Amino acid sequence: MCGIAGIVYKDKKLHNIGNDMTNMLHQLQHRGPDSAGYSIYGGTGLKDDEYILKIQVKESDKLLAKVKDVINFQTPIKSDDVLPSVGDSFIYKCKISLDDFSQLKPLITKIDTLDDVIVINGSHDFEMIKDVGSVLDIADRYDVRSVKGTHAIGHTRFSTESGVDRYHAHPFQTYIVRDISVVHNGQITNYWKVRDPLERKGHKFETFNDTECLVHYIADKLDTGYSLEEALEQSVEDMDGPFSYIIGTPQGIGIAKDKLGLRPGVMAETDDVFAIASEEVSLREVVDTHHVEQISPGEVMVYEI
Amino acid sequence: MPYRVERNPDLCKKNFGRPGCCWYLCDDRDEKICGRCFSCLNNCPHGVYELIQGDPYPLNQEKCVGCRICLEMCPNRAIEVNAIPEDARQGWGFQDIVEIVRQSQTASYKLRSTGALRRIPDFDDLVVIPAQVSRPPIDKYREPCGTDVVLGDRFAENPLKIDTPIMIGAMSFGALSKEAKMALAIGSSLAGTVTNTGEGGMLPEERELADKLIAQYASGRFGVSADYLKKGDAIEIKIGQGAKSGMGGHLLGEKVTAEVSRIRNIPEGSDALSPARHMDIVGPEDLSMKISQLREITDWKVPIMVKFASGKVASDVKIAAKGGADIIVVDGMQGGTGAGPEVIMEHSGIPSVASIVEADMALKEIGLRDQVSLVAAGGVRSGADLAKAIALGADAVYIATAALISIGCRVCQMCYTGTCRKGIATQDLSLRHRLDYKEMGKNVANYIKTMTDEACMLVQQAGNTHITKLEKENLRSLTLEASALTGVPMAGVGRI
Amino acid sequence: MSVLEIDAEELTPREINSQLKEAAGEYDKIIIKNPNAKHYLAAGVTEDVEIEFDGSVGYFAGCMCDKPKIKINGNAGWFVGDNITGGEVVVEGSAGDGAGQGIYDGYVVVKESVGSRTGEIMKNGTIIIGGNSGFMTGIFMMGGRIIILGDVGDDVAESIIRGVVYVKGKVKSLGNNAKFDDMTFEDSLELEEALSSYGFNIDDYSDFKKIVPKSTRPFYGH
Repeated sequence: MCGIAGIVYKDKKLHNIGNDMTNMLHQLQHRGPDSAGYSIYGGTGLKDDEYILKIQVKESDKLLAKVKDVINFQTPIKSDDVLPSVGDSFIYKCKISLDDFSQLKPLITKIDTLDDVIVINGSHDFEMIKDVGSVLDIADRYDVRSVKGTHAIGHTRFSTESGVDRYHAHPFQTYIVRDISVVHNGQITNYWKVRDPLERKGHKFETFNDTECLVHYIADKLDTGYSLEEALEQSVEDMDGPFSYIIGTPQGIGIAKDKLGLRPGVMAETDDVFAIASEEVSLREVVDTHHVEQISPGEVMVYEI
Repeated sequence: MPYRVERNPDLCKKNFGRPGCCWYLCDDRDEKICGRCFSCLNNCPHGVYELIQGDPYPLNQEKCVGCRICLEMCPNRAIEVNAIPEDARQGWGFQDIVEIVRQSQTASYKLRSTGALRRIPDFDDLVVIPAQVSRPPIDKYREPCGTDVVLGDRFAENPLKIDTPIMIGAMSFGALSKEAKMALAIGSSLAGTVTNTGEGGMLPEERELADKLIAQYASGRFGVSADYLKKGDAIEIKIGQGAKSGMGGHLLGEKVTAEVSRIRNIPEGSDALSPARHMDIVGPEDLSMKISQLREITDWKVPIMVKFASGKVASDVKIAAKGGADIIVVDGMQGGTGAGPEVIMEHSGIPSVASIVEADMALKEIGLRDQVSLVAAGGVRSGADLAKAIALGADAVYIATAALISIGCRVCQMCYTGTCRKGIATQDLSLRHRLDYKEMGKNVANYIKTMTDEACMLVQQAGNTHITKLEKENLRSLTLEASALTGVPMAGVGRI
Repeated sequence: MSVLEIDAEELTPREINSQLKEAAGEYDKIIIKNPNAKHYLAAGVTEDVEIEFDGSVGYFAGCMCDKPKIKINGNAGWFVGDNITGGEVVVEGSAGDGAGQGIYDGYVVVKESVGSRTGEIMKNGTIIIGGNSGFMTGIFMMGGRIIILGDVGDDVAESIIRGVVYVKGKVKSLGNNAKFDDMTFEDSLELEEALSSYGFNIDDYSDFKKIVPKSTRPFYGH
């Protein structure tokens, strides 16, 4: 529920997109005071078999060593870093190699079995940064303004029916297909009817959050041969309730809006940039034009580079 | 409902061998019809009576709902109405059969007034436990019991300060007559409390007579302007109401007279069916933006209230509190209405006792319980209900159906037809003349004061000195249902 | 004419509005620089004053105003001119959903296109859209006029019970209880009067489509 934003630089080159997205989200702060998050694509500079893990670890003597043991048992940690955070935990970030993407989820599940340890995300082509607090605090905490990339999506959260913590902050990602993440404003009111068939296909759900359901749904569609645009169009048919959400993929971003158009979304485009957001005030941070287009009820828009 | 209605012909014609004598109840004296009373026939809201050879007979007994307006209005007390036991054949009650027949013949769902009528766990399932020697009771006759409350002092410059935690809930002009609105306004002022415009705009008379008046802001936005909001002592954003959860207000065309149409600015004779949601409040951030918008218009002076039908209480309450509401109202499924589909009234929502506890807990969980005031509504009838609502976690209650009963309502459930025999839920001038609003205003005040007194007795015998000090620990449950719904332990060893 | 300029760059909506309301009685015209698409600007102003925003405004711009003439030299967010009871709100650019929602009187004018649900629950007054208007334009309209010079989306005038929608462009579909009616000469005069005063000069009024309610009671009372 909340504020959402997405931006793509059309030239495929690296830009200060962390800074852009911070400015966009700051303007949407009033739509969601609880938490905020980013998926920043294209700037990780990893080799094809490399992944980053971000893990929330509680401050305690030997816990981090245990986490490292679990990872090293599977694959050696290539490099790592500890990022301080709020509360009684910190973020452990590390780089690893895997033979195949399908090994990532089992590894994460194994790490998650440790008490007081939660894997926030594991990715190849995007960096996910999310936490509780205000956009500007989070941007400072993780030095987001210096993160470079080609495109990004972001979110400010006003929690509705689930908890306020780092894990429940958006974006949500899926491990069905590599590097798909989503930010969402609204609710899915036929959640269980969407979730149940996905679970029966073997997809694992970590939370009762409808956004997680959405990202699995889209990934499942992409996995079965839908293009991003087709997947989004199908979601408008299958999902009930008020929503507008932005999907990020390594190729670009896409937005879908429910058939009654109950959640906002505006778009602006220049020769350099394609941007979408909940409100014009956010677009104005990155696009210098008065030409703003309303996204219509049931409409889907995709920009891929 | 199963009632037996009997009219005694001897009593009916005890004077001069003619039915009744209308000289003291007559609205429309006419020598030609004088001597032909028919008060029962004319005043029955449900068409129970029919005229046979010049005499009224209660023929259509299956239509009787037990309001006893015929009995009350019979000049010769010739009528008796008695409840008879429910006739049910494995769940196929007589009323179920009557309703299926009605639907099969008319192809329409049932509209009616009031709210859920079936048995629902409520305040009667709880008791307040007395103080003895483990803690001392307070003396009703010689020691004081405080009843004043301040609501909405979180952000508003001028919070609501009232002498008793009983407020009059939202009932619109349109649903009610001008006289009924005036009676409620007078009553609320005499009792030192506050009344509510409802969603049909603000009558000048109502503003004049009410010391404190809440301006309701509902989805139809009838009669809303900057001026309207600025005249209110608080603003209530109506998200929903317990009786018609998930639906907007219903005012049927029969009651949209010229005056109602002018104040709401809708066509005369059209149905005012408010949208199910505010067109601009679809999610939590919208509610928070709406609260900010209304504060900008009213310069942050008055409390902003948010009223919910009870459903996902914890989520809704947290959203409103985080969005900046000063006061939150939770309306249980027993809440009343002037018009709505019966299926919604009886089968949607949760009981008031459960919603109060859930709302109180939700506010505590987000650390805002001491800043946000909580108002309970839905089915509050007595001082006992008030005391128990406060013990469960409310800071104040709304009464609405009960307030109407104090000015003459007999819960006949036909408000939506606009032919209220008591001049309350009607716009018909000849019926409105039946309501003496000055006298009835006093009745409202008497009733509120007595309720407050009753609640004080329970509070004092439980060992407390102020009505707001009563707590959940002062309650015990008599039924498993109420105990499970509220977390109040069973009386005795307290097992659930 | 006395003119005041307020630079809103560093101000919150609450500060802008309180400065605006304080000045509204004293000045003839107030210009707000750098409104930066903030929300609730000029909410509930009831003085006879000209207000000009030099830039885009956010949600609920000019809501519940009564007399002022408000001009926005930019775009507006959702619900521009919400519930005004008089005066005018003119947007030089485009606007979001719910433009002119629930208005009682006065004019809400958007020179370019708007989003969905334009003029929902309006009771009276006039809304003019220079471009297109989206889905469910005029939903539950209870009176007044909506004039659209571009195209309009699906379900126009859904559940309308009074009032009229005029569309110069294409109408995708009508909502429940809405029907087409014939344009009269009086209608053309009315449109010309309304449109010309906001700088819209139309050569031909005959091709406007006029949409009105079928019944005042579409649901009950049959």
